[in-house]
Amino acid sequence: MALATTYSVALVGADAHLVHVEVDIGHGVPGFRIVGLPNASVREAEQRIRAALVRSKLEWPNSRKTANLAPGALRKEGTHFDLALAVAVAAADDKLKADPLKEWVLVGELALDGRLRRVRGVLPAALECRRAGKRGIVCPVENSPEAALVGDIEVVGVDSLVDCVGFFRGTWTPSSIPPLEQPPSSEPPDMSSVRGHPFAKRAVEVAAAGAHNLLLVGPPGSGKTMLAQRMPGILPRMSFDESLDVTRVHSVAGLLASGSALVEERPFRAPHHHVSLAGLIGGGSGLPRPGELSLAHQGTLFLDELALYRREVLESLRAPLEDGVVRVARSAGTVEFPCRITLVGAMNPCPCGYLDDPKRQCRCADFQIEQYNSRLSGPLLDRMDLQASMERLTSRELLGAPEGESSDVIRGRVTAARETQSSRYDDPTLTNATAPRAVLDRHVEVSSSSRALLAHAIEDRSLTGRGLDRVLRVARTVADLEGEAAVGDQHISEALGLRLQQPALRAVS
Amino acid sequence: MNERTITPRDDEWPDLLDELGPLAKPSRLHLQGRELPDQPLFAVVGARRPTIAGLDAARSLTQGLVEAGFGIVSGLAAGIDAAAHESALACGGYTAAVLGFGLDVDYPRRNARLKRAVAERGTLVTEYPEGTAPRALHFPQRNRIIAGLAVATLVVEGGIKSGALITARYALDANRDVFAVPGSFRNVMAAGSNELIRRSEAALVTDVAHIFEELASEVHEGPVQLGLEPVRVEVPDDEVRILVLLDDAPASPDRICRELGLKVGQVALGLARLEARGLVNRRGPGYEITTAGARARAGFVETTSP
Repeated sequence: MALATTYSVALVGADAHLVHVEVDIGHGVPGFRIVGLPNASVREAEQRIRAALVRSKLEWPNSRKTANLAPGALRKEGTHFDLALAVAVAAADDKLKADPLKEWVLVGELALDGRLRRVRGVLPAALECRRAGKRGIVCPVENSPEAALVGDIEVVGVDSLVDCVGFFRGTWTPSSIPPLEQPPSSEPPDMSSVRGHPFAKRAVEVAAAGAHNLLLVGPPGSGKTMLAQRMPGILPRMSFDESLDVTRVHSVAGLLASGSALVEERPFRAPHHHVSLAGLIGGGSGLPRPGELSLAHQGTLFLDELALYRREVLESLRAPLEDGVVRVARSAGTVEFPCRITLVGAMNPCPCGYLDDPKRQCRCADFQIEQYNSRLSGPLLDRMDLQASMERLTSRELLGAPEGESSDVIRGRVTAARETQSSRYDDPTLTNATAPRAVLDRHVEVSSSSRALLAHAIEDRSLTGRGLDRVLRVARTVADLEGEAAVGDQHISEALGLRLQQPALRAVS
Repeated sequence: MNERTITPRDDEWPDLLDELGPLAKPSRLHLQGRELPDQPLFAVVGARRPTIAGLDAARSLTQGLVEAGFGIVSGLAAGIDAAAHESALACGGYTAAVLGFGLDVDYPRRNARLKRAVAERGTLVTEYPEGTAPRALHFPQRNRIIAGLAVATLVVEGGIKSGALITARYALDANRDVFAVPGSFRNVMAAGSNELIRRSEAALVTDVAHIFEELASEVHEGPVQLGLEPVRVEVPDDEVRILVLLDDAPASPDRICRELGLKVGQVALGLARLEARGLVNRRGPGYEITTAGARARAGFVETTSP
């Protein structure tokens, strides 16, 4: 037999696509060629396969070998094709029966001695395996818990090429999948240890309850970062599907720890303000990889010192924040990554940090403040549904006993509010922040007295149309937190109170 | 437009400047606009980022001074300076602006229109030739000319190290009267002006009549009533408590929560209602009472006190 086919996958964004790996052994000048748009990491497979086959007591046939990765128009990247290529060579060389290979998807990187190394993207591969109706997936043992998250398929974890060949010959049976080794979940810091800041704390709670974006403004040392870090602790626990969704992205990024599988804690990502455009929204050479924005999917993206990020980096957030997905276009193709996140931004009120401080005088010139604030465009600020300012605490507050509620209590309220929302919108992915306006409108009735409050805010504080929309959404969330069916004055006013005047528009004289 | 350079030998040279002393007095001045008038000038200076109460005080006191026959001199900075120039022009008075840069420079840019208005109906004054850019060092220098041109100086808000205090210092050194509007002890912006009062270097002013009493020899046209007239307003309890707190000093919502022991929702509702009725205003991250709010609060005190 001179032709054999195995199956593997190509990663595109956070998804995997089934790839036919065909190997033909024929007459001609001895050599090995891979076609089907392989990149360097795939082409180098030749050297690894050759050594691994020989050391696994198989043969590297001394003839012309051609490997085709189909569909040929899809770019292939990654070392996980090694296993499928090696097995296909062995089958084409009549060392294996070809038939059983058709039912399996193979992924794994070969070491020169024939062992298998862990690869990224096994979870999407397993999902694709199920979608394509294959019987199961053969992958490195270390990746097998990850693959086992997907039900309805068999998962075979192998240590080496020898085991893999043994499995297909029926001379080796896989051991059961090792149980999930969850890293002891580090308890996120608790809200009860935060002193003072009633408004900012409330803003964090409302942000969590409605998936609203939040901007914290305060002088250095006022506790902006501390508060943001408590966000994951009050967000509802992830459902299995949500966890799977997060794990998929982290798997593609190669961020899953060895032997661990499901990401159960909501992500909290805090990229530094020097982050590049590709680092934040995704990209890189070749096939795009997920950026921080997608790694924070289902969790919190915290941007400290918001005004120090490059402007184009901040502006690139606008569309993804609205859509919940980020589209990254590269020469190799356009891919989509999910990014349903809660954005928490933090900044000083001015470059020196002491504008409006009751104790210290600000040393910034007006133009410096304008310049600083103008880094945040109006449209971006409009998307920050909640804008809380934080003051430096007084000694009495700092030294007093922590007085707040624990994160668990707040999480209880947040979870209840989220449940109200998902039953209202009949879709667990929709929240007050993302629900279509038409649907939302049916649940927000503005009384005439609320109308007066809003009218004042529009005239006096240049609340834009989008800003008004965001205020109504926040008001709906506040009412949900209180368990109220109707939105009242107190909810509207709280939504307005949790939204600062835009710093850039603050009149100086 | 009407630009000229004068030296102490010219008729237009203001003799008051000579009292600055031979070392401090400028050797020449570049002018644009009307001739420097014979009427006495009053300096009104203060913070670049004042409170609403400060702006209010600057406007009403400037108006009183103009009505009493003074011209107003200030430094064309943002905040109190701009308010002084504007209200002097608004009530038909004369105003001179002393610049820390060349006549052809617009700084701060948002005052460009005001600068043109002063050039048309008042006078721009500077010791710097055309093309000189604003430099930090120029402004304290400029302040000595403001103090030198004026018979007396009024400080409305200013930090401890503010330019307004430097102006007051030059005025005191030249033996001129200095007046200051008091501010809350919590208001950093008023720390400098309060300090002047504490050291008895400035006379406390809450009414333009106080200035005239002090300057009895200059101009006097009877006391001017500017006090707060109580107004009766129906205000719910929480809102009254917020109003009373804000009457003391501007405060952040966080502080209002803490001081009054109210919930976030209650404070937000109270503030939104007070703001919608124009009784309080946002100021930076906090809130402050408006003039209308202070009147309402005064009315509230009157109706409840025995």
